[in-house]
Parts: sequence; C-alpha cells; structure tokens
Amino acid sequence: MRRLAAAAAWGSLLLALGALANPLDRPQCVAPAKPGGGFDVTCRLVQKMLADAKVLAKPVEISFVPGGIGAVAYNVFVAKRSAEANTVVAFSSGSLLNLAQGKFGRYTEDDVRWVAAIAADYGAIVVPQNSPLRNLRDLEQLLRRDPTKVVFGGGGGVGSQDWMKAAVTARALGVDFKSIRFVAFEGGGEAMKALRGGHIHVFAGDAAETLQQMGDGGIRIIAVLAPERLAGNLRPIPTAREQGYDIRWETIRGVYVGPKVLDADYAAWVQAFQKAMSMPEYAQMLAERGLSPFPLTGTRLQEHVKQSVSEYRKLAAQFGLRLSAAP
Amino acid sequence: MPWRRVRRLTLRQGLLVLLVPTMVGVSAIELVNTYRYSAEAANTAYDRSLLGVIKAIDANVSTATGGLAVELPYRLFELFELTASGSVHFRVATADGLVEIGSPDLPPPPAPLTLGKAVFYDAEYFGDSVRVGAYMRELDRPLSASGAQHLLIQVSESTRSREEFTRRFLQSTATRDAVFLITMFLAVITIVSLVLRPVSRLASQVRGRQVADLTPLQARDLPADVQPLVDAVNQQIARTRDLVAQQRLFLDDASHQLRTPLATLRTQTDAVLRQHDPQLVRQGLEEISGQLDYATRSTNQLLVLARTDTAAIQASAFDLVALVRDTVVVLLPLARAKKQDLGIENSDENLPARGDVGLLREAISNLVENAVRYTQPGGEITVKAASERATLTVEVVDNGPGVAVDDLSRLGERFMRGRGRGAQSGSGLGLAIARSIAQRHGGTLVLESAPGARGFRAILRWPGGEAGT
Repeated sequence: MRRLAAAAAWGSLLLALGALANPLDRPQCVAPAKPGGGFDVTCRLVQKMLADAKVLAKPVEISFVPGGIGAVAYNVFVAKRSAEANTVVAFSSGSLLNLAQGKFGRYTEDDVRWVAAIAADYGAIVVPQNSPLRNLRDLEQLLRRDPTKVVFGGGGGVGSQDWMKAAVTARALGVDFKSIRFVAFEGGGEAMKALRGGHIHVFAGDAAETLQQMGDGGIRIIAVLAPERLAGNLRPIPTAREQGYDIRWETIRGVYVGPKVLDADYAAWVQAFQKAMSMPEYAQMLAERGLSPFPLTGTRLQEHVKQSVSEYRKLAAQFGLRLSAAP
Repeated sequence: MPWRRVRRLTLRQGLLVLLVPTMVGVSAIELVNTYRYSAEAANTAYDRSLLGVIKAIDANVSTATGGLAVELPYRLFELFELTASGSVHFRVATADGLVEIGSPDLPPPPAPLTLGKAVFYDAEYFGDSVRVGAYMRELDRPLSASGAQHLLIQVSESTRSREEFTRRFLQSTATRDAVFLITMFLAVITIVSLVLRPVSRLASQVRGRQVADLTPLQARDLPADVQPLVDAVNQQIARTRDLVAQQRLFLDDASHQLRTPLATLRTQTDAVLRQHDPQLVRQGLEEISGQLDYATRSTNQLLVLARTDTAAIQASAFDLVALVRDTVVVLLPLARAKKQDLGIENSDENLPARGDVGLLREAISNLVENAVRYTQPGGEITVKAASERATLTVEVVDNGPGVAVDDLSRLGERFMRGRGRGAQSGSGLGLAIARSIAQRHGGTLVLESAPGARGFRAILRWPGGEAGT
C-alpha cells in the first residue's frame, strides 16, 4: 500500500518535472474573453496550426479569462501568472489599441513577451446590397454633400477599431471626422444585421469577418483597406489605394506569454510557431477564413508591436482620444 | 497647575496662549467641515454632469434593428471628455448583461436600481478610483439576443477631477484661514499694546509720585475696565487724606489740650513756691491736685478717642440694661454730690444687645457724666435703654440749662464745649468720643433740646438688637 503511494508520488513528481522541462508538453491557449469571440477564433487557429505542424505532444487546450476586452487577462499574466511557460494568451490589434489608450491599467506593451503574430485581417468598407454607393468616390461625394445623410456603424463606440476605421476613411475622403454619424453596436454581427435592415448605411468592418457573412447575402464590400488585393473570394474587391485613397487598416492576431517565462521556453514557442507557419496547411487555413498570413515572431514581432502601439497613440491623439471612451 | 501659570502671564501672552490654540482648533474644525461640504458639493455638481451624459446616451439608444445600437456623435464624446479629467467609460447593456456596448465589467450598482432613477456610487475600475452613475429603464421592445425587459446605462469617470476640485477648494480655504489667523495674532498684539499704553503711563505716574502727594490719580484715556480700579485707588487716597487731616487736627488739638493744663500747673506751682504760709501752700497744692485730676482725665479721654478712631470693634452679646445700670452706678456718687436725681427708667428689663461693651460703656458713661456735669445741683437726669426693630437706643435726658440753638449743630465736634464755658471744666471730648463710638457701630448720636421747656437730650442709637445680629 505504502509502496504504491510512494510510486504514485514519484510518478506525479516526474510528470511535474517533465512539464517544467518542456513548455509544449501541456500547451494552453487563453482567450481573454467569453467563448465565441475573436480571441476564441485566434486560439482555435493556434490549436489547428500547431496540431497540423505536429510540433506538440498534445493538442492545445483553450481556456477563457474574460474581462475588459483583454485587460483582465493582461493584468493577470503580467502580475500573477507571469512565469507560466506552457500558456500563450491571444491578442489582437484591438488589444494594442487599448494599450495605446492606457486602458490596460498601468501596464504597457513592454510588460509581456510577444511570441507570434499568426494572421492579419484588413478593414473593409461594407454597404447594403441595394446601396447606390459603388465605390469610395460615391461615398466621398455623398459625404461632402451632407455628412449627416450617411450613417456609419460598427462594433464599439468612439475610439474603438471600427470607429477608427470610419474616422480614418472619412479623413481620407476629405470630410471632418467629427461630423460623421456613427452608431455603436455590440459587435460586427449586430452592425451587419443593421446594415441589412437599412438602419445604417456604411459598416466599417473587417474583411474576414465580412466574408463569413457574405454567404447570407444582402451586403457587399466596396473597398478593402489593405496594401494589396486579398486572396480567395476577396480578390475581386479593389483596395482603397487602387481607388486613389491612402487608407490602410490592419488587424493582426497573435499570442504572448508572461514576462518571467524563461528565454528557452519562449524560444521553444517561437520555434513551434515558425515551423507551423511554414506549413502549406497554414496558408490554406487562413485563405479559407479570408485572413492573410502575417508571419512575424520573436524580436521582430516585439518591434512591430512597439511601432503599432506608438502609431495608435499618435492616431488616438489626432482623434482627440486621449481619454477615450471604451471600444 | 497650568491655569495658575497662564494667569501669571502678561495680558498679551495670556491672550495669545489662549487664543492661538482656540483659533487653530476652530479653523481645523472649519477645515474638516469645508472638506466634507466641498466633497459633497463636488459630488453633487459632477454627478449632475454624469447624469447629463447618461441622458445624452439614453437619447441615442435605439433598438430598431432588433439589437442594441447607440449612436455616438463625436460631440457627445467631446462632452464626455469635458466632463472629467480622468478616463470616462460607459456601458449600455440589457439588465441580464447578455447584450452590452461599451466598457464591459463597469462595477455594478451596490443595490438594485429603481426604474427611471439614476444612482451614483464610488467604485474601483482597473486600479482607478471611479464614480459611476447608473440608470435603468424599460426597453422599448425585447432584443433578439436577450429576454431582458430593462436597459442599464452606466457612465463612469475618474474621481481625479472632483478630488482636484475639493483639494483646490480646501487649499484656498486653508490659505485664507492661515492669513486670517496671522493677521489676527498681529492685530491682537498691536491692539493689546495700544490699549495697555495708558495703563503703563498710569503706572509710571504712580511711581513718580511724592510720598506726601495725596492728589487723585489722573484717569484720562484709560480703558473703561481699568476706570473702577483708578476710582477705588482715588477713593482710598481720599480716605487716607481725610485720615491724615483728622490726625493732624487731632494732634493740634491734643497738643493745645495738653499744653494748657501743663502751663496752668506751672503757674500754680510757681505761685505755691512763692508762698510761705503753710496754709496757703496746702491750699495751692490742693488746687494743683485738682488741676492734675483734670489733666489726667483729659489725657485719658484723648487716648480713648484715639483708640475709638482706630481700634477694631470687638462685638459680643450682652444685656444693655445691665450695662446701663453698671455705668450709672459708677456715676451715682458724682450726681449725689450735686444732689441730683439720677435714675434709670427701665432698670428691671432685659435687653439683649450686641456691640463692643467697653466702647459702649465709655460712650454711655460720657453722656451721663456730661449730663451730671452741666445740670444744676438738684436737677434731674433720666437714662433710658430701648430696643426697637433691631435698633438699640440709650437716651439721657436732663432738665439742665440746655444748649443754645446755634451751638447745637456744632456739639459733639472735638474739643467743642457747648455749655457754660469756664465754670465747668471739661475736655470737650466726651460727646465727640460718644459720637465716634456710635459711628464705629454703624449708628448715630443725636443731640437735641429736651422735649420740655428746658433741658438737653442725647440719644445714642446703633443697630445691634437681637433681630439684627
């Protein structure tokens, strides 16, 4: 009896040591939201690409730490779970926008270790199927005639990504961003429902998200805010740049780990993602979802994040969002 | 004891020692109250603007799409920014939280909300201390994603700006109080110095006086509080001046009084020394002896008068009738020698009285002796003691020659002999002594013509009856 218990104890100790030895043995992905959101999607992508690449002994488990659009999780992983080597946390450009606006409390982008960006999505200007607007030029003319005739919509309020896209677009079209009408919805889905119902005229959304909804019909995209045309079903849609407007809105998705995770464990995660992103399954997975590859890892990602946050900070300042309302 | 130490300080020190802690205490209490009041006022004012934001959001909420939508004009957002110097958050959600726009996890209200009534509460939001306004109303129509009937609107702002407001308010109050306190202390020091300047002037005036200077102090420019003290001192000076004058008068009279019999004795002695006839020598010596008796009595009376003027009254209880009887008995042989009828009217009564027995005996004795001396042989003298409503009287009436009306008013003054100068030798002090004794007892001596055709009446009256003790 005693011998058995001792064996069991040894067994669990070895297991624990094994877990410590390799962070990828019991991998976890934390979605800092309730199930079903964008972060959930990110974790599912992580789960699939790492499984496809066969770099893990076990599939990635997904757990949820909701609160404050990522703020709660960010605070938890900076302070309490800061050395948890087997867990990656999902982030998006929305998280960086919040960081830039100081909505993650006293912490900054330097307080975690950014592991990998796995995908990018680009902004899309969406209108109802029966809208007279065919391109950005039409929108410009309409806005210049009477900005109050055009109602924009999006998930989140002033200062959110969708609002920023609308404001950036208006600015590029030569209209005062302060004069545009913007209706906030709970999320992109709600906004698109309102678009179909004719309650709003323009939705400043994301290309991938819109693509999922395109199947239901009733809506169409007049411009994507990407540097060049997107792949797959989105290929026919011209970019804003093609139409003569310099508008670009990029939304990246990725993961980070706590600040006290050891260099070796951090490197193991980076290598795993690098390998996964070199697989052909990865490109296919993204294309199916209308997402674009954005293979940035390690130090290069750290730099990119720093630069993005500083750009968002500049943009927020230009839009007078110093003390912004929540997204 | 600290209080005793405080009282020993100068007026200025005392004022400061008592005023400084009092005023500092009062200011501290005032500051605390100001803090409470301004915090409350700040909350009221800032809450109102929060309510304005809630109402503005409420007006822009729409459920027309079947979902929740809030139109957020940038101007409204600017209004948020103007509202507070810290971060502003809002949240529009169904009561069950299934549908929400804005900052999730804004702290919920501490108590269930009443529909249509905004409440405000303090809370923590991501490490920031915030003030939250919450308002709940019915939904126009149920949303597709939630069965909730009610819509909750919450707006929060950092408490920084209202704290700043309170802090500035408090700071200006504290500065004002400090300036006020310092000004007041300086004013107290200056005013006390100014007010006390006449007092120090008075002090140096008193210090500079000659020993014999008995003129009143100058009370001009003195504070009203010090006036009574100066008045009292002046009164004391006046009394001293009177006393000195009286003593000088007494001394003059006394020296005259003593010098006269001494001169007479000198003359008589010289006359006797020139005599050779033993018969005449003896006769001369007898005259000298008589003169010595007179001088002795005169001296004794002077001493008595000096004593009555100054000695303290030693009051005790005694029977007045007995005292009168004892006094009269002593003088009975003198009256008998002049075949006078000296009697006491109420010799068997008993009158409890109070006073200095020795002095009163002297007074009564003087009155009776005076009557015996100035009443013709065979005359009648009656002594009567009485007590009426706590006032005691001893009345001596004779049927002698009486006193001329002119002299009556001066009678009882010192060394004034009223009746029959020369023939009857008296010191002129008897009535003065009696009057002095009456006055020392708080009473009077009345000297008047007797009620009958002729005669003299003296009434000694003083408060000392049984009821008065």
